[in-house]
Amino acid sequence: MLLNTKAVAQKIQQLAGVDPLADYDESFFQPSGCDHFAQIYLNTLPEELAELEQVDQLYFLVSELSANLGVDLSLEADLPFATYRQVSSQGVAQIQGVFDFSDPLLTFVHLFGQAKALSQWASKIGATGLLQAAKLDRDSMLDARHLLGELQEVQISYEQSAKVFNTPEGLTANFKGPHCAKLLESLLESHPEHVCVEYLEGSGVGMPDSKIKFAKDGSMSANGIKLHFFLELAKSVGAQLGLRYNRFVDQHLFRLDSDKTWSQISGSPVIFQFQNPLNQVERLAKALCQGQKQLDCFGHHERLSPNLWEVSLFDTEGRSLRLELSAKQCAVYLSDRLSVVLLDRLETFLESQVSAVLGKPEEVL
Amino acid sequence: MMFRFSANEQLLADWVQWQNQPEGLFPIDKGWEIKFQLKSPRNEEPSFFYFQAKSKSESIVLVPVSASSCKDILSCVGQSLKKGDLLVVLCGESVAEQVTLQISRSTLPESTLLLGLGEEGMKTYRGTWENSRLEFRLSKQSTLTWDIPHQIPLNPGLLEDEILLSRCFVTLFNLLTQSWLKGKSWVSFEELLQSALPLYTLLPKPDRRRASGLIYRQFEQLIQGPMQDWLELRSYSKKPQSAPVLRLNFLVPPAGRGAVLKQLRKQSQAIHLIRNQALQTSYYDIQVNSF
Repeated sequence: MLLNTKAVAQKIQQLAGVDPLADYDESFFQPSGCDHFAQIYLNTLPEELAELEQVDQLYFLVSELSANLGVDLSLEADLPFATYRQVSSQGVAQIQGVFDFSDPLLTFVHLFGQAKALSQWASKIGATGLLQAAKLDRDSMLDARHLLGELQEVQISYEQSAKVFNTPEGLTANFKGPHCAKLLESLLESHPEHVCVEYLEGSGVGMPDSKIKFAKDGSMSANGIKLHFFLELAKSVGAQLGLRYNRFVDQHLFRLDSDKTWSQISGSPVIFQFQNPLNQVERLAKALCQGQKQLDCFGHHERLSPNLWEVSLFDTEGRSLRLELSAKQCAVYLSDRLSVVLLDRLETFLESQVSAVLGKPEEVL
Repeated sequence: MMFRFSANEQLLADWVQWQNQPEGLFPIDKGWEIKFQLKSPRNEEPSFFYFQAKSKSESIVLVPVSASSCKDILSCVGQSLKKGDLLVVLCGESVAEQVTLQISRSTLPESTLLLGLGEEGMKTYRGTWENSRLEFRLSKQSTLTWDIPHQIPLNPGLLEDEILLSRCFVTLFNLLTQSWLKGKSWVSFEELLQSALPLYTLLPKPDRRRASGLIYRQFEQLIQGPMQDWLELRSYSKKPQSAPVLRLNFLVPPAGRGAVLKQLRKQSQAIHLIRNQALQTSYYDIQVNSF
């Protein structure tokens, strides 16, 4: 993760018209509201553009984003940053944003303004298809609670699909208040496989009045917190995500290399272990193929052996995945970098409906 | 057990590739590498998989065979063996005796091993392992044959097998639907085959012709049946004197999720037909009965 927090902080303060050297109070984005929202996106530039020089790539990405969002993003001359400032008719800044493109895989977007407008903006960016909201997996979401001082709100949501399990179980809850940290810990002890965190909210370490929220789509929002502190948090979440996506690209891209005579296969599948063996494997295979809203992909399934189903999935954007599904696990064969987005959606689906955990690197065959 | 396990060459090839993982015979982290190529016997027989597992000190050639292809393959392999190569022939349990006989009749080296794949795993049927470490690893394998992952791309020379043909059509249909959703009005038949079957371009010409003929015949039938109002197969030439190419034309533009799901249903019906070809009487009967 190449995030340069100092440069980001400087850029943000410059945008707000604040002297970067002054240790300014957290509420410097007056009077437009003082919410800070950051979202980490996965770059999903088409392969043919990935061959371009980085400068040209950035220029293309920024101009495409501007066109798609209908706003004017201005590209910085010295740093791989783009900034944006929306001003109301009275001349008051409503939304201010800094896009950080310094990482080739992940893009950081920092937005300031009123919370509601910011999250709308973030989903608009995701809808362009050029950047896709990254995904924090189950374990990283649980780890994120250590980044907070005092936990104030937790939402967990897990529901086994009645199509796949004979006696489906579920656990959805929303804890609020000072006891939620204890409740979460006790749940983790008694039913670890059923805890699937949607979002966490709490105060920063040593800052009882602040409010920070982590959601599993890689978004963070904060209120009443100093800028540099927030950027450090974003950096550590970004590092987690960087590890995750680099692992997919380095180890799990499934390739067939052929020279004139010999061919060789490299890359290993991504394995999801099911905590409870499935009762109806074929129904899950079928459900994956039918363009469900959460997954938004189509495909076919085939029985390969009494234990094994092959599912090949594709979506309308041209991404595709091949799966081998058994009662105990699901092996995913990634064929190109762009399909990682589909893998994210699949993981979200499996996490919330069958309690699947991504195999640890050492467990992956 | 009434029937002994019969394995096709594709499954045996997948078994070999799977030996590259930590519990396999030739783990990648112990310095082994597995490569493969498609070879063709000289006569008009379909091409076969030819594997080479190599470490610093050893080179092992593994060749999956079936009862019918065995004779041609073994005579062809014998010529391309290098000095110091250990030959391991792989087959399904059900044909192990026949293949043993073939090996002893052939001019293959005495050290040639024969492994037979049963439901419980791989067993040695002929010969002894010189490297006791490999023998030990083989005996310790506990994974059932049913759980072997399918990593090797389909060999287009083996498509006469119905399971492989239906797997191939799954990929073909997915690619077709993808182009359809992207708004294309046609797909070149040859390009479709090349992207659906990664090994297609590595095949010699007669094999390529055989595979594309087989798929063409299937498409012809499907277009009269379940794919009737979706696809059309036409030959097209840019100029009157240029060589014609085959194209699949889409007859309707994609409209909404419902239309996609409808096509997917028809496609799975088609795949079902391909897999159960022997049982089928007429496309129209099944179209009425099953959906």
